[in-house]
Amino acid sequence: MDYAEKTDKELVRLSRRGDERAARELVHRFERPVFSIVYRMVRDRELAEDLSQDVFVRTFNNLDRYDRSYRFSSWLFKIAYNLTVDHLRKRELPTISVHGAPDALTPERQEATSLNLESDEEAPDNRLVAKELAGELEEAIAELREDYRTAILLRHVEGRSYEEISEIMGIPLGTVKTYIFRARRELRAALSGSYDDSED
Amino acid sequence: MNDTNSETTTHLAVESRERIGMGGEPGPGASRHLASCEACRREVAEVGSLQARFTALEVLVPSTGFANRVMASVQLPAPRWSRALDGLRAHPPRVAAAAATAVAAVIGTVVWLTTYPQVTPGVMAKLVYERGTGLVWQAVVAVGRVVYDSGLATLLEAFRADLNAWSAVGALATLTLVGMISMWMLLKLMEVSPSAIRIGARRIG
Repeated sequence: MDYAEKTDKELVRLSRRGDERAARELVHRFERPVFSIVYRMVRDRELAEDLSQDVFVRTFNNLDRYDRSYRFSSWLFKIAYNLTVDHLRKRELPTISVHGAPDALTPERQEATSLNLESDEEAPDNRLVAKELAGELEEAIAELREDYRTAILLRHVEGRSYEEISEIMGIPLGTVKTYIFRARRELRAALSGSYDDSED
Repeated sequence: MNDTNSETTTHLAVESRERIGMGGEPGPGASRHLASCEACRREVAEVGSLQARFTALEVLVPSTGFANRVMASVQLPAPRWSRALDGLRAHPPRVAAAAATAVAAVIGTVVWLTTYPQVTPGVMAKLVYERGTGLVWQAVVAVGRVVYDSGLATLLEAFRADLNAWSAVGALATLTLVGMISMWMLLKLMEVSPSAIRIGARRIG
């Protein structure tokens, strides 16, 4: 049986029956797009790998909940988006202040929850991020709000339709259009110098 | 929305401008409009430029062994044949009984067919058809009996669950009353006067 020629839905059906090779083919098919979007969201390679792994594990462990009227990839991206956003929101809470979380009442707790401001020399992962996510566009993407960033990446990198982005992010179609319009405007503003260069 | 070049021209829809900017072929109408509308041309060019930049982004790949790590953490449902085997292993007495029944049925059929070759499947089908009405009636009676029994069992269970001296007296009284009424109704239906019934030599009433 040639799994590479099968459709996503066929592979899902086989995976539901416990076919490990079908599941492996699905991972092979989607590991790059999922990792790519998660990495650009969290900008930490190790964390992106952990989250992406969690995305696939949750997906396979909940295959019986997959509604076959939707594209499998949309469902997978939806799980990836929810998991990443949840993580980012949880991470934001305890790191609001460099002096520790707002609810940290003891010095020990303050130390445990305070931001660790390392230099690039001390953090090899940061150097890797700098190399992989370098360039004006990557930096401009990083400056976008997380929902704008997700929408624009799904549209321009993954080539998803507005309807699919709406399903993935769980927001109305009009909101998707607004997000993408604003994201483009912000990117255009951030890249205006290089736009002028390229047009000259 | 009005075009900058003309007071009546409508711009291309946002989706159309974007589709063309991302490499889609414009239709004849859109081509004509683009030829005359500076604003739409600029928008299409900007989307195209942005798309080109996105396409040039580095492809981000997880580290080697990512798929293996995922597969090691995933719990797929066991394949059907494996689940069936597990089910068989879980209930050895049932499996043995089913296997013994199947073997007995096969042997019995072979013996029957060799001993009574005249009883063909056609003859058996005719027999079942002729006795069908009786069998259905018996089945209805049997189902009714089961329902009646289970209802009675439920009633007894209810009494037992709340058993004390008063509930026992109440239960006995109720049963006696229900029994008497049932008996009276039965005799009425049979058009027999209770006074006409004799038990042994003694007359009641």
